[in-house]
Amino acid sequence: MILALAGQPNVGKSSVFNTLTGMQQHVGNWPGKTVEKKEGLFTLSDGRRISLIDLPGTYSLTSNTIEEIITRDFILQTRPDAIINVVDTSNLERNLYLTTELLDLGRPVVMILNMMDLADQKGYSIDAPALSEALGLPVITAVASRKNGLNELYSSLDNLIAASDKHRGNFCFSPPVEQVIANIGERLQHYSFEGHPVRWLAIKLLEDDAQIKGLVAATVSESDLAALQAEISQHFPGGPSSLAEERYRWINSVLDAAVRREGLGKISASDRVDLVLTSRWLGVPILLAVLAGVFLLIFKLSPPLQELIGGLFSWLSHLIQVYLGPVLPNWLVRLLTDGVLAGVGTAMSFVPLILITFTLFGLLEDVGYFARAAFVMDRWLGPLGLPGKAFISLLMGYGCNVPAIMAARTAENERDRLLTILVTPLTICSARQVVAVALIGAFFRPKFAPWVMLGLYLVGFALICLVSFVLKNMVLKAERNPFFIELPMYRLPNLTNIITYAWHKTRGYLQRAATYIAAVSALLWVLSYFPGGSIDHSIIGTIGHWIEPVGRPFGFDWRLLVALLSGFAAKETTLATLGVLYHANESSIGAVLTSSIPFASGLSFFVFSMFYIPCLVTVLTIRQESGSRKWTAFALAYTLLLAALLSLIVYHLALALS
Amino acid sequence: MKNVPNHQAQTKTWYRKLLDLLLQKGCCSCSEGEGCANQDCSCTNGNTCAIREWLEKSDGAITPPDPGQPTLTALPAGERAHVNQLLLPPAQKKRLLSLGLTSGTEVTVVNNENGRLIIAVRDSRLGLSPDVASKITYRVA
Ligand SMILES: Nc1nc2c(ncn2[C@@H]2O[C@H](COP(=O)(O)OP(=O)(O)OP(=O)(O)O)[C@@H](O)[C@H]2O)c(=O)[nH]1
Ligand SMILES: [Mg+2]
Repeated sequence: MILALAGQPNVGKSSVFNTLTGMQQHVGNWPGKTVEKKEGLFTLSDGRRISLIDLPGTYSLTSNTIEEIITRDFILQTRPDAIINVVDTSNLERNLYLTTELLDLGRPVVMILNMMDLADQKGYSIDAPALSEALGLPVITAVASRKNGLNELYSSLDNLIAASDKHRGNFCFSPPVEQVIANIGERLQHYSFEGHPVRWLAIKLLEDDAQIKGLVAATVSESDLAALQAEISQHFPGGPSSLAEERYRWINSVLDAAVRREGLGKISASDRVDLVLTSRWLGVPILLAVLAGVFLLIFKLSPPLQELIGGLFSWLSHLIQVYLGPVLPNWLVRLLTDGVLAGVGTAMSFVPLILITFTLFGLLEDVGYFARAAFVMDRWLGPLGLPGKAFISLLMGYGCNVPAIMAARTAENERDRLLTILVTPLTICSARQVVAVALIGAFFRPKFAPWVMLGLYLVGFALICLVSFVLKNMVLKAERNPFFIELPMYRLPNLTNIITYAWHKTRGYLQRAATYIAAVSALLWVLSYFPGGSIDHSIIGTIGHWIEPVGRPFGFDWRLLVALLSGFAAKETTLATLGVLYHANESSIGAVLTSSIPFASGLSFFVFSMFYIPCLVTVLTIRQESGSRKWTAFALAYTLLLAALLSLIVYHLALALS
Repeated sequence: MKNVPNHQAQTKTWYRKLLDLLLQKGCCSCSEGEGCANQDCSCTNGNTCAIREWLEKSDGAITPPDPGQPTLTALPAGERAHVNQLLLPPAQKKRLLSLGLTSGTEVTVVNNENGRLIIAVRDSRLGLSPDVASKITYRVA
């Protein structure tokens, strides 16, 4: 049995999904987090297995954006046994718009009135039975973030599903429009359209949906097509917008029957906050201050914890030396301590930094600030050709580039999306931040460290501006789309969500450290020890001397080159590699790097490692999301070129000045 | 994971499909070029060209502006008005319609910073950049 969760963006679909399936889909307060459908399983009390699909949120089901296409294709092709339509009750009027479209698809619908707490707060009073009656659908009230109402959902699911054939809703258009739909349906009936419901096709034709028009034109006979066009132009003078009006007219009649909304359209507390946070003079300074505050907190909070974990690993390797030293051969002990533990320990000591970064960004997200940041930044990004929404991707990119690139799917058109995808890799993701913190610690006095970090972010942002400006003027010349965005109400953050989210991300990092980084560290150590017993007479040393000339213009010795190469798979590996190759562990890495790498080379390496090609997973994501090998190659090439250029400049500047 | 459907490419494929159909039926040469559907087409089969025109309509024309009408840009914060027309390309127009900006809808301006607006529509808030706000005309309540 298949159930699909559908609804507008940011209404709590993923919250419901997580509760029912025990999975951990990304939850937060801005429209468009879920961009790919996700399947989860759970069992009903009678033992039946249900497969539940979390669909991306969409405002409607036209064929404009990828999420809309994913959602409607899923429902049309998989024909779920029922659609669970999650709605934000505090935003019922607009939410029901999608409901009318879902009903057109002809599948049974069950409605969850979510966010009842916010509706109460807003002064809405809802008569659920009357609403159910007016809609012609069963409704369940819920507060998904507190898991209220989901038990009822769970226990009544069997009944709902059993009776679901009835739940087709009361929605219909006005009689003249219904007549046109019926006439069109008559003609379409004789053809098969991949099993799509005829009524839905007729409605989409009236709505001027490009995809469906193409489908119909390619399927029906010429005379029928002509007749259809005649039907539409003669009997449907209102055009697509009249359908939207009729949908809203029906919605209002439903609301009149069951909902009392006091203070509709009044300026709320949330609006008053926006008057300040999005104002012309304060908006951007506040945004900058918030971001600066976030990064400051990250760098204040993490070092003590970092030392703690570093200490733990030193102690571990000490234990190994003391207890295993006498038993195992010397090289094996060193493989464990200087190889595996040094590498893994270096990566592990940055776990707090990752955790804190994602917690703070999760907090901003959950409060509802992301959408505002996009709105405020649109004014500045506009001249660069970036849509305001791209800023959400960029913000996410500071955590991890992969979801950031996926988030670009909410862009209004392909050009905006491609541009966003191409510039996102220039954000300093948390793994690169780890490398940055270590390198800055090694090459700058503590007093300057925060400023260097700030400089890094500014340079990164300047590069984003530069690249998108160049792309806008040279390659992606089309106009960017006019920008608009829904601004969800500010909310108190939900700590469980934030912690789950941050932990989810940190766990990924931990897993990489325990598996991939451990393996790479061990391998590197073996390569750097055998056959000669010292790094200069090792395999990697020999190869290193071979490739050394490549790094010379940038001031890199071969160790730095190897570190950069290993960083391609996962950026934090760069650091583990340095640890192994320079015989340093997590607590000594700063001092060892300072003493063995000249300042100019260090600086150049720092710059290079921040901006050169994105990590493997990011590259694969770019390939998948852009759907183009050409653009993926372009992203690789331009980041590499940019990094090379910058580090060349920095290296020679530093040489000249010192 | 499946390849992401590239929307534009996809609509193209539909066009392509149709184009093939048309070519088989020996339509005019206009089916390759751009912007030829209206004139200058030595079409022998009026019907097929009509189909092309019909297909392309949805992505092309913008509703003609109505110069006499004031746009939302002009409204100061706190003001109410009824939406009249959306002078935007069809795709965006549809999007705004589904967000509730249908003709006659009452909107309240929450904030207006030099044409960059936050408006209350039905029960939600929308942020509009100046290039959107300046294309929505209103009638006074
Ligand atoms: N106050 C309140 N907040 C809720 C409720 N349900 C969910 N939320 C919060 O609403 C926000 C959005 O929830 P999600 O589950 O991510 O929404 P979604 O529908 O999956 O959103 P998209 O994937 O972006 O379409 C999160 O911050 C949730 O914590 C509720 O009943 N009451
Ligand atoms: Mg979701």
